[in-house]
Amino acid sequence: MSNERKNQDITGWVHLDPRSKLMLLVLFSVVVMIDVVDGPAYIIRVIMTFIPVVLVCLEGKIHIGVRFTLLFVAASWLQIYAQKYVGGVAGMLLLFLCYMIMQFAPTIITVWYCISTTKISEFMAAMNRMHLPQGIAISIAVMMRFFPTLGEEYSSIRDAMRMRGIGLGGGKVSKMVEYRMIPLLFSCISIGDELSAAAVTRGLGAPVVRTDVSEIRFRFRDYMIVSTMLILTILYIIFSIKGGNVVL
Amino acid sequence: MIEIKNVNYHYAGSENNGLENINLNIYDGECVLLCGASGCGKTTLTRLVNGLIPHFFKGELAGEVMINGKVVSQEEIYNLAGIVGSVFQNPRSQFFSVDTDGEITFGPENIGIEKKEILARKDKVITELNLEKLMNRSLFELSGGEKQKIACGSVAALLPEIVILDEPSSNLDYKSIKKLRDIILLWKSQGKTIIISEHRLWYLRNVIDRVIYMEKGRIEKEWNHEEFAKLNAEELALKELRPVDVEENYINRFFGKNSDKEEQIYDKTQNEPADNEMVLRDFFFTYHPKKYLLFRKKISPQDEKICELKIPYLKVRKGEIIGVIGNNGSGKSTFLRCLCGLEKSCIGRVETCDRNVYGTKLTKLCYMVMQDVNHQLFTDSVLSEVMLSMEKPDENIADGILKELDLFEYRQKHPMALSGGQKQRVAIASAMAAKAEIMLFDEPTSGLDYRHMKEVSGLLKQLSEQGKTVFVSTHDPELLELCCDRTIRIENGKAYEVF
Repeated sequence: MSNERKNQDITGWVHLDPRSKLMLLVLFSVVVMIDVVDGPAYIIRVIMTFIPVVLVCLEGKIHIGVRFTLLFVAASWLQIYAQKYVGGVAGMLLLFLCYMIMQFAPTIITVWYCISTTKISEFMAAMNRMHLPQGIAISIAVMMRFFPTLGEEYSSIRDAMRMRGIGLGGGKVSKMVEYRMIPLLFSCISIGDELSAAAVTRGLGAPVVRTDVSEIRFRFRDYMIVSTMLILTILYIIFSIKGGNVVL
Repeated sequence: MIEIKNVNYHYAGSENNGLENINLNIYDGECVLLCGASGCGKTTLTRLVNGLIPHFFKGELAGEVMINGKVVSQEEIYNLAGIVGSVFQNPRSQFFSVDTDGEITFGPENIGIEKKEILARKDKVITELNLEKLMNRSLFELSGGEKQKIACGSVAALLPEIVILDEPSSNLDYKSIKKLRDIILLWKSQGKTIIISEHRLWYLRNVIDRVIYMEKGRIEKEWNHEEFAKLNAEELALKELRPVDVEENYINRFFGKNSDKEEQIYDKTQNEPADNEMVLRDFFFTYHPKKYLLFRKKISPQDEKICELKIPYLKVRKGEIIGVIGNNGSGKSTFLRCLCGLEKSCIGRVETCDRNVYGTKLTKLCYMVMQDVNHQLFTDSVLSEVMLSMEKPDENIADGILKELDLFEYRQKHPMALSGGQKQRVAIASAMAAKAEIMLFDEPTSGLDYRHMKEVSGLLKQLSEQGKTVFVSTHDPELLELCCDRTIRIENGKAYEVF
């Protein structure tokens, strides 16, 4: 492993408060839920989409930002093109694909940003400050801990499938899913068991007030980003109601 | 003091790994080794002490376990957290945080210790265990040995009087094992009571005070330190234990000390492979290629400077068993991955007298039995697992392969219901069905007892008799001794022949 990666700070230098990230996620899901295809609301939507992309780029992952931008631009262009020139089933499929990319890619990149730059201890501290019950905080923390593990497991399973030459499941979609899911489930169950055994021997779940070593606080950039997103979301809702996209 | 009185235990829904009539006292400051074949109950015994039995694993428990006069079954498990610390076998599934700092403070935070005190403990643990370089990093980027060190640190931060280590060295290389030993010695000097359950015995020879040998859930024998150090390999082998003495020779092999006895493998002659030979050429690879936007460039020998794997030439005989050794991160696994075609940007190729195989076609020629064999079993019966690998499924051939590997009676069973060794054999069976010529094994004996290790070496020999070329990466000198025809040491991505 190279030295620069060794010293990499997980939270990156923007280092938003976990609560701002949570806010970002909530506002973003509101925007994604209301579907808009044109007008001023659409412009706001695009701006909001690119805020997390900018954040990702600021963490030095410029290649990911660029790839996302290309994908997004290609999908929007293709959508317009398909609406005009491609008809029939092919057109429908193409439209559907573009729609999926435009809907989900921004959410995925936001979630990825939020999870990959948050330490579990910071997250637990944030949950504690918000006076959420420990049970909920622990469950979400376990999920955050599990995402990278899932990724690791999945990639070794994919390797094993490549070696067997069954990556495409012999042409059957059901087999493709089955071959991936069965080993994944088995290994997740055993890892989950070992993980919880290790956690309870370290006192997780003790009925005491948990101490938080991590310093978390709202900084100027937190206020900046949260207020920008909040204003944009409100504008978005107003414009989409005016545009008739949302019926009250 | 730990007192175990008349304990009988059975896991719910399982006949295996139970305990029968266990009576044992472990005194303060003692360092005790639990050994015995897999399934002898040594892990179960450790779980009695850290409270996972009866609080986490359900089963029938009779008898009493007491720590400092308190009955374990009547204490809540979080009250034990500050008294008993546990380090487990698998480094990747025992940490809760994603960052190293958070992991060390995790335990003390849970039991509500004051913040100042936690930070003081953290600093102390970091200096004591030499963890400075590992701080503020993602746990997912660490090697197995480094993760295990963090696990030790996380336990130490709770300041337990008793430390339990359950097969802690299973996934570690030589260097990491020595570091682990240093940590155990430090704890011993601090007066902690230490209980270790382990298959690898050599590194503990001068650490332990007492050895407890278990068989089928009973304590069969006890040795003190002097008696144990004197046991020779035959006596241990009778008890299916691995050697206590690992010869100097092997240690030097693993550390590459006797460099006069090894040489780097070069392309001296540019020889074409003869009939019974194969040549591996141009295996160069890096995990950190130059930054790219859309398409990753193939790696050629010109990129050698940035490569983590650089093996320009390696000639092997067909049917040879080649042991691949080297520390974690030296490029061993990378070499195996490239050889079986999993790394697309590697341009390495395998030449035989009549063929030239490269790129994704390597996946047909080579087959890797992974360290975690669960990842490569996909179907709901052993038979269909084997048939899946065949180009033209033929039940007769599949049955033949299964008979050869003693799996015929399990042909209708679900692969996940088999034991670890049987799963390994199923993976080998499917490789044979796929007609792979080169078989790769990634640490097939980690965490196995002596008997299972001998079984694995028997299998490897069987494969080589059938003309398969076998590469086996390992940290176990015992395995090299048992079955390898030659040994290659990989260091910094370069291959050295060890004589």
